[in-house]
Amino acid sequence: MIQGLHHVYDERGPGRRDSLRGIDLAIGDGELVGLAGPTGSGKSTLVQHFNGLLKPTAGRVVVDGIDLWAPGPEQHRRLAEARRRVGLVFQFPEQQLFEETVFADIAFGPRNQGLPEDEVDRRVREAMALVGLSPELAERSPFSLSGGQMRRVAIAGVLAMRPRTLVLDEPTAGLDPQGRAELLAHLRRLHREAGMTIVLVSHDMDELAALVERVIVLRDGRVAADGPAAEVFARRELLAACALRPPAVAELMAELRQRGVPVPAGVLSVDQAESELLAVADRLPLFRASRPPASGGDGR
Amino acid sequence: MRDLLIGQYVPGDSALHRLDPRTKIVLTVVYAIVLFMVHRWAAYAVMAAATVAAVAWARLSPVYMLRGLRPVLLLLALTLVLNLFVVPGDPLARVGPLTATREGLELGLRLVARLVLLVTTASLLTLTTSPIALTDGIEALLRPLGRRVPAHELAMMMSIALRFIPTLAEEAERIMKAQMARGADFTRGGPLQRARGLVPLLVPLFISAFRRADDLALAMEARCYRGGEGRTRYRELRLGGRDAVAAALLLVMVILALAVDR
Repeated sequence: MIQGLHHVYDERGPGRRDSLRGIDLAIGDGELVGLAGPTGSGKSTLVQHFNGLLKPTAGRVVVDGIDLWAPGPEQHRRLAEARRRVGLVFQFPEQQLFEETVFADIAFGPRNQGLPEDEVDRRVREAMALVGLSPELAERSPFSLSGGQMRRVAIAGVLAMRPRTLVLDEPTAGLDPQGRAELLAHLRRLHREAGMTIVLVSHDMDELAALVERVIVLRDGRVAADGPAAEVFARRELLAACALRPPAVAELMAELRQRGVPVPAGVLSVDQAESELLAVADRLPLFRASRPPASGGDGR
Repeated sequence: MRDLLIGQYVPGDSALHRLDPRTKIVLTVVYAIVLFMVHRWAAYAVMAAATVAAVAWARLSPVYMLRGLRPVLLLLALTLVLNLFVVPGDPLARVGPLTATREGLELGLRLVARLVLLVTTASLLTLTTSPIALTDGIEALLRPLGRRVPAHELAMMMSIALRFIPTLAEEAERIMKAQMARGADFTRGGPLQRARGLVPLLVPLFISAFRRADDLALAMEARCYRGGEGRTRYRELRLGGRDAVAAALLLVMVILALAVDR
């Protein structure tokens, strides 16, 4: 939970600039939230407050009831606890890899937590399975892997600390379409099966539309919109003002509605769009004849 | 380290800022040579006056300049104390087995005066000259040395190094944060533990620095960079009346300093 958060970079220096100007938001346990906004809107600054890497200039950050920056002698421990509970995956996280083997790199976090070696071993195997890395990669050098694999090693390094919440800053940037789809599928599984709270920073609206339930839009260090994905994506003027493009599917549906095709609002996924369009086509005699047979297998 | 002035640049458009970088480099070198030729206090006074005048000319605050001496304070104190006790001569005072001498005190103070003037004047050069102008100046001064000295390449290396300092600093901060998110602690433990703790920072930093260097080399070659031969420049260096005045003033200082040093 974030309350009245402000962050000013270089407060007294020559490069002073206000990055966050009063942010209030609460993210509940088990939510899957998308955080969007144009470059420089404060997304990365905001997520670095979630686990106490940045200290707010004003305002409070509360993680599971722990007020991170409340005065008191326990602060160092509170921050360590926040970093255990909130796993933060930076942009291009593969650039932080440093160990000689994949295993050792993923084990860095658990070892810093002071866990016994057999528990570390268990955590590493578990984290590798969660991101779909096959166990025989454990003894390879992380630098011999492909870009997509390296990124998954880095994400596993955060997952091995077993955070309740996973925050990812542009996790698919620079991946090929297949690596991107795989990574998103793993995130969906982490949310559905392990019940993790996930915050996904992205400016790819298609990606968010396919994955998240709630979208928060930042602009100039303020929350410009916060609500269910379908609602936020329907506000096309707002998205345009933030230099964001609505998801392609939402654009298509809006366009069709404008031309008088009776499709419902709030359609975000390709599958949903397909069934809605077929339903509409069913009602139009012109299309019925040209429709492929439903049993045709690849009848898309 | 933040106080150290040598190597920092304060943008401005004072008379000193607008001097040709070559003039400033040559004059600074001449100043340093004369500084080590003279021995009398009167000569030091002349040179100190010249430095004070230059600081005023550059429109820099004297307080700011004095603060810049803080990092070398230890060196100055050490110089004074060592000379005080090591140089033989008239005994002044005894501290345990050591004897402080009058000659030692004098020599120590003189060395301190030299160092203060040298550091201040050298900082003045970098404070009023942008890194690009500085490397341009160095290149222009090295060029007459002919083919054996790769003047252009040296200057290019220097400007690239300067250009990437802020980039690397930013990168270091990002990697540090990423490792802190994984529970790394860069502030705790003894010196050995801390040094070991730097591995997760330094390995990724070096890897990315090498990658950047590779990318930059490729990008330069893609734009047909092939060294300095026949290369024209965007900023032409031109000596003007201002440079003549500065050189003349320094000449006056040199003559005065050498005259009072007899």
